Amino acid sequence: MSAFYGHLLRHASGRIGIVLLGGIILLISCPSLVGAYSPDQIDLLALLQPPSWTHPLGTDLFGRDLLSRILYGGRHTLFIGASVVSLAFIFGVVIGSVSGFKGGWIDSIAMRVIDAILSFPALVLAIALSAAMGAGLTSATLAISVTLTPQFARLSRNQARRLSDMLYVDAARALGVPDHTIMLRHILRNGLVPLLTLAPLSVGTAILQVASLGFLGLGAQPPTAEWGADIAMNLDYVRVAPWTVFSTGIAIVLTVLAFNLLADATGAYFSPSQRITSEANRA
Amino acid sequence: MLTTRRRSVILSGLSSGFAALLPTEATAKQIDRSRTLVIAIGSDPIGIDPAMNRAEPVGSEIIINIFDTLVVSVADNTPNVEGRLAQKWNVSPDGLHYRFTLVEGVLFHDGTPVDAQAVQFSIERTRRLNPFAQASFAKVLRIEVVDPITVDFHLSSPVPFFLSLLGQPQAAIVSPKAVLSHGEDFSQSPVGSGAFRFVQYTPEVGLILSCNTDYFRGRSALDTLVYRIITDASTRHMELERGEIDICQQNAQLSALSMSDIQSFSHNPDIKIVEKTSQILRQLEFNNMRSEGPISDIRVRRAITHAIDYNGLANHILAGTVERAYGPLPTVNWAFSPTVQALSPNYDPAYARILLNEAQWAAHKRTLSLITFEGSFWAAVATFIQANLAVIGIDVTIEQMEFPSLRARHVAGQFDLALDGREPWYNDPDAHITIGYLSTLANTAMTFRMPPNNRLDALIRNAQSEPREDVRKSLYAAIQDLILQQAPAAYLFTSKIIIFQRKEVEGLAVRSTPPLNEYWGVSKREPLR
Repeated sequence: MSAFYGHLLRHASGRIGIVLLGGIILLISCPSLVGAYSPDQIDLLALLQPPSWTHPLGTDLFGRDLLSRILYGGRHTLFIGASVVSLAFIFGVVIGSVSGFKGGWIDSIAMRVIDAILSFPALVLAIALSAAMGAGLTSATLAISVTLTPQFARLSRNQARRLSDMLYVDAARALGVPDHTIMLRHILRNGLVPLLTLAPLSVGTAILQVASLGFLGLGAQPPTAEWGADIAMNLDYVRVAPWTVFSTGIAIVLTVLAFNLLADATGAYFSPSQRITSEANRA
Repeated sequence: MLTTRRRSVILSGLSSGFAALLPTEATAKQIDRSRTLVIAIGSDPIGIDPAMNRAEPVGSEIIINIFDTLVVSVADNTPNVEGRLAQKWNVSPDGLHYRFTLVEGVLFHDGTPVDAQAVQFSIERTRRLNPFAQASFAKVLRIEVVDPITVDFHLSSPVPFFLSLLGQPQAAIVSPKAVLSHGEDFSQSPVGSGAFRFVQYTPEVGLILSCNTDYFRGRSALDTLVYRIITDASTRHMELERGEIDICQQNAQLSALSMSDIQSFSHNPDIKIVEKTSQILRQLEFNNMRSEGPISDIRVRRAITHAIDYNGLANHILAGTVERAYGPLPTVNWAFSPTVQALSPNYDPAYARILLNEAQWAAHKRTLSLITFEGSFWAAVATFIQANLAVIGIDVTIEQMEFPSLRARHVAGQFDLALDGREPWYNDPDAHITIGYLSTLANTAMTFRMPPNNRLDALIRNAQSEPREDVRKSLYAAIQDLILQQAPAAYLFTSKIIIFQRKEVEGLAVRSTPPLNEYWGVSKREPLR
């Protein structure tokens, strides 16, 4: 695993991604480092103020400090992004491994369901699901994880199918090892690597979808600071107070960029051709 | 005259904007921009027919420009009306009999006369077909044609605001001949006697009206009215700045915030901002039918009314686009009682905390639900109230929902607080009080869900049928006091009607309740170049 971290640090996008994400996580976990206020503090005497020393990114319609809202909103956004991917990862890997290993009718049914989910545009499906479950962060989290599950399910199914033909799996079967042990010990463990590449890339997608649902009013409800909902709230003022929208937009771009750069570097590590090249270079 | 260059620029803008609207024979060359008024509207009109009108602003405005009513409300602070198709009228002393004398020689756009028979036909048709007008005309026993210019209305019991009801768009007079020949399609080709004739309607694109050159009050200075449907607020804003539209309907302000537009237009010398007070009332309602839980405790309700920073909301958050309201009637209503202003709760969070302590809020503290409509306007007001209540220790969850869902939740009583509003369609305190506070109507839409209260109910019924104006006024003063004592709501503000127009547009008349634009007197000054 240390070889992996070494690769990330050597890989240019990996380095930038780590620094960026590290910085973001540091800021949102300790907002006091940059002197943030309470994100819900209304100040009627400082409505829609442009950036200044007291409010580095300006204030919104309610005179709330935008930097504080972005930092506290980032906690929600990142937490939901991570929860969404964890949920999708767990659902997807369980469904994919079982159907790939068992095959037969279980496989057919599971994969048709997955195909059905894939046939919808992800965002449209997420909107429909969270609208049906009622607006809120929990339903938004569940809805987006449903739309991300198929990727993980398909990938882990292919891994499970490939690995279940391996000689050591046959040997384990011949020794009478129970199915669930084979799945955990031999199939999951050996098939995990490509799934781990997919995970950070999905966090980026998940964050964008959380923000989109929030923008449409289906995610966080006021006064919760959340990036998408805050952009929607401030959009009416884009002409007179453009900083309200742009600073939050830039926060989304930087965070998604950090995850995509990391995904890029991770992908490079696991991709055979890249690996051969980089090893050849080192030699 | 316009320079050729400017004209060609305008025409190219025009043709891109409403080419789809124009009849094939009317090419862009024939449009004289100085005699054409282009109006941006946010949505399609619903039913350009008095019998189909659902008190919806866009369709209603088009109706009052194509049709005439017998009378028109003159101002919010007086019950008086002025005549339109009726040149004079008499009311019998018992208030049961109204006789109208029509202006002679008025013709509908199809050439048929506007006579007593047309009045009878129109009001009976609206009463039969329009569920929104049924309550208005429920007490009309019969309408009698005396002679071609005289028509009698016989009522079953006195309706002191009957004239005001006849000024509603639903009570506009239609051409019987056109209705009989078009039948169901009348709303697709409406025929009235108003200042403008209907030419064409293309759904999702817009409408064209042309000047009625034979209008009985004199022809309009405009040749054409073009309504363009532009759903996006920033597109409307940009087109107004570029001069491709002349007037921006701000009906959209009822769901979106208009301060941003006001701020940027106030620096633009080409744009005039027209503001008018209105009777559009916005309030935070309590679920008054609850017999248990915190909202049933009047101390909690009163604490909430003292926790809201009314002036901060009106002057800062909504930047003066609204005016503070003090009670169940808007300040401009003629029956508004000045004593209410003194009784009305002021912003006093310390006192609110005392009231909450008395109610032992801390012991059975719970999160209250607040329901409201979709849109940034409602979100801003709800968020501000949520923050105000958080200060005194009341947590609120906000749920924004579409109009039908909100009405369903409201009627079913599934809420603690509702951020809601009312926009009266006729100019009378009755429009606010009866529907809102009569306890027998508690489980219908648009009410404050008042629990049974014989005294209040009796007062409301008396005020509804009392013919003497001064007695009515004192009855409504008593009603306002009684309502405020029960704290059924925190009365927040009345929204101003805000209209953005190009500076060359002159003579726009904004009618009193319902606040709709009348374009008959509008003309366009030649821009100085």
